[in-house]
Amino acid sequence: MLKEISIIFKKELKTMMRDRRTFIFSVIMPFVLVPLMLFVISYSMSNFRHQISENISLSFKNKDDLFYKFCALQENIKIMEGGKELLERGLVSAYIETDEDLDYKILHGEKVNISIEYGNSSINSIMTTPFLNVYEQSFLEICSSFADLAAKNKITYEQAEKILNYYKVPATEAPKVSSDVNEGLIYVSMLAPMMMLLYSCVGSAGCASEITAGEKEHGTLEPLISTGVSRDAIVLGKLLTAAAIGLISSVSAAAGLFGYAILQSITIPNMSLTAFSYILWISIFTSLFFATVNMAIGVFSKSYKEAQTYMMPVSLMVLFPSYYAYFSSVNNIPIQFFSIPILNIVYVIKELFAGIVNFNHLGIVSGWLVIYSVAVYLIIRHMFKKESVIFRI
Amino acid sequence: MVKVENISKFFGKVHAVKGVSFEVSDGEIVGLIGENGAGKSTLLRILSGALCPSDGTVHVDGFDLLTQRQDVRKNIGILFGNEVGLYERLTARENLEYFALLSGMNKRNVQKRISVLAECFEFKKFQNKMAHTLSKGMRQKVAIARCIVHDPKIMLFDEPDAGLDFGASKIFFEFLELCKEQKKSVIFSSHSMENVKMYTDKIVVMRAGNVVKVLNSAEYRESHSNREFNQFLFQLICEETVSA
Ligand SMILES: Nc1ncnc2c1ncn2[C@@H]1O[C@H](COP(=O)(O)OP(=O)(O)O)[C@@H](O)[C@H]1O
Ligand SMILES: [Mg+2]
Repeated sequence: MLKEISIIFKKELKTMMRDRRTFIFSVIMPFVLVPLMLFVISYSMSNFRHQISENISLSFKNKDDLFYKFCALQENIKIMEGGKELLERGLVSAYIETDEDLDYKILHGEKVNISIEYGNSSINSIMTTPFLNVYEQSFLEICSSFADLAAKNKITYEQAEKILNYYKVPATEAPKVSSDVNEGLIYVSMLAPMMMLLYSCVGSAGCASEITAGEKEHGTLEPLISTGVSRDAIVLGKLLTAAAIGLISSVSAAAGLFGYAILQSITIPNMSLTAFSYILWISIFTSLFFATVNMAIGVFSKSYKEAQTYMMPVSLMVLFPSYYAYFSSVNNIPIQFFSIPILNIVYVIKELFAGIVNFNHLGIVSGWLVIYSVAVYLIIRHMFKKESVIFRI
Repeated sequence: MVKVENISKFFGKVHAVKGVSFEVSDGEIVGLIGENGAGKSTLLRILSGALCPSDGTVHVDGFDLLTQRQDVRKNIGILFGNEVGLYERLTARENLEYFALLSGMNKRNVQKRISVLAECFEFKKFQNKMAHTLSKGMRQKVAIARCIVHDPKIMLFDEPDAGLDFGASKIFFEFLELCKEQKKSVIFSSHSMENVKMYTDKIVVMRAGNVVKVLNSAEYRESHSNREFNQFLFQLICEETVSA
C-alpha cells in the first residue's frame, strides 16, 4: 500500500511539475502576485491619502470660535455650513464640537475640549483622522503655550487670534506625521493570513481537478483502477500530491510577502523563527484540508471544467472569514472561535504573525483540520467506490 | 480458463448485458462482435473487474473474480475502448513504467519488459516522446502495450484494431498468435469482420445485451466460402434479417 501510494505520488508530482500552467499558477504566481498586490494597494492608498489631505471638509457646531477660525485658515480645510446633519449624510469627513465657552476658557488659560466626530461608514473619514489629529494637537499646543499669560488675564482676544493665525500647518507635513503608524505593516499583516489561506486553497484546485476529473476525462482512470491497485492508495497518492502543491503555493505566497516586507524595509515586530515555523506547521494542515475538499469536488465532477466551476465558490468562502478576522484584535480571541472552520485558521495565523505562539490554539486548530480532512476523505473514499461516480453515467 | 456465467449488468434502468454465459479456454482467442450498444464494452469491463456485474459470476482459473478480486486482478490486462487514455505529460515509456510498477513488477524487470514490447509493437522510435505528441495509431500501440505490460494471463481488448494501420494491425494479431502459444486467453471486440474471421478460434456474437451465438471460427473458415461466412455473421449481428 505505501509503495503504491509513493509510486502514484511521485508520478502525479512529476506530471504536475511538467504542466507549465500548474507550475506557473501554483508556484510562480503567488510569489509574484502577492508583492505586486501590496505595491498596488499601498501606492493607491498613499495616492488617495494625498487627495484627501488636500481637501478636508468639516462642519462645526459652534461657529466663529477660535478653533473654527484656526481651521478656516488652513489651506486644505473646507468648512461647510449645516451642522451634524452633513456628517450623517456623508457630505463632510468630520463634525466638530467644542466647548460653548471655548474662547473664554482659552483667554483664561483653562483646559478646553474639542471633540471630533467621524462618520463611521465613509473611508474618507477614516483617512482624515490622522490629519485632523495633527490640527487639533497643534491648536492645543499653541493655546497651552500662552496659557500661563492667559491665566493672568494678560491676553486679549485679538492677541490670541493673531498668535493662532500665524500658525498654518503645511498640508504636506500632515501625512508625514501621520504615516508613523507603519501602514505597510498593516497591509502585510492583514494580507498574510488571507493570502496564505487563499493560496493553500486555490493552489491545489487546479491540481486536484486535473488528477481526478481530468483523469476521468482523459480516460486514464479506468486503466488505473483496472491495475488492481487499491482505491485507497489511488486516493491517498493523489491527495498527497494536491496537498503538496497547495503547500508549495501558500509557502510561495508567504515568501512573496516576506520579500515585499524586506524590500520595503518593513519589520514585522514580533515575528520570530518559532512563530514562523508554526505558520508553516499550520500551512501543512491547511493545505491538506483544502486538498481533500478540492479532491472531493474533483472526484464528484465529470470534467476538469466542471470541477473548476465548483471550486470557485469554495475559494471565495475562504476570503470572507479572513476579512472578518481582520477587524478583530488578536488579543483575547474567545477560545470557541478556534473551532469555527476556516475562521480558526485565520485567527491562528494572525496570532502567529503577532508573535503569539499559543500551543492550545495551535493544537485545537491542527486537530480540527485533521478531523475535517479525515471526514472529507471518507466521503471521497465512498464516492470512489461508486461506479456511477467513477464511470460517467 | 475464463468461465462466464449468467452475467447481467444494469446501468440504472438500462439493461446493458442480459444474462450472458460462455467459456474461454487457455490458449484460445475469442472475437466479440455486435452492433454499437450491443454490450461488448460493458462485458469486457466486467470481465476485467472494473465494473461489478448486477448478477452472475466470472471465474478465472477457478478463482471468483468478485470475491477473490485481488488474486485475479493481476492476471488480467484490459485495453479500454473509445479514447485511448494515456498520460499526456508522460513519455510513452513512462506511461508503461507507471502501470508496470503499479502492477507490482520490480524495476529491473520493468525496463526489460518495456524494451521487449517496444520492439514488438514498433514504438521504440517514439518511446521517449511525450504522449500528447503522438498520433492516434501510435497512441493505440502504446496503450496496447501498457495493458499487457505486466504480462497477464487473460488479455481483454476493446477494439484494439481501431486506429491501427494495416501493418500495425497485422503485428498486433501476430502477437496474439504468439500469446496463444503461451497458453494465454484473449478476448477482443472488433468491428473488422476480416480480423475476427481470420485471427480467432471462437466468435461470440452479441445483440442487445444477449449472446446470440458462439461459433467455432476455424470450422467455418474451412467449410464455408469467405462470402458465406460474411453473410452468416452479418445476419447474426443484425436481428431483422435473421430467419428462423
Ligand atoms: N457507464 C454507462 N452508463 C450508462 N449506460 C451505459 C454505460 N456504459 C454503457 N451503457 C449502455 O449500455 C449499452 C451497451 O453499451 P456498450 O457496452 O458500450 O456497447 P458496445 O461496446 O457493444 O457498443 C448501451 O446502451 C450503452 O448506452
Ligand atoms: Mg464499445
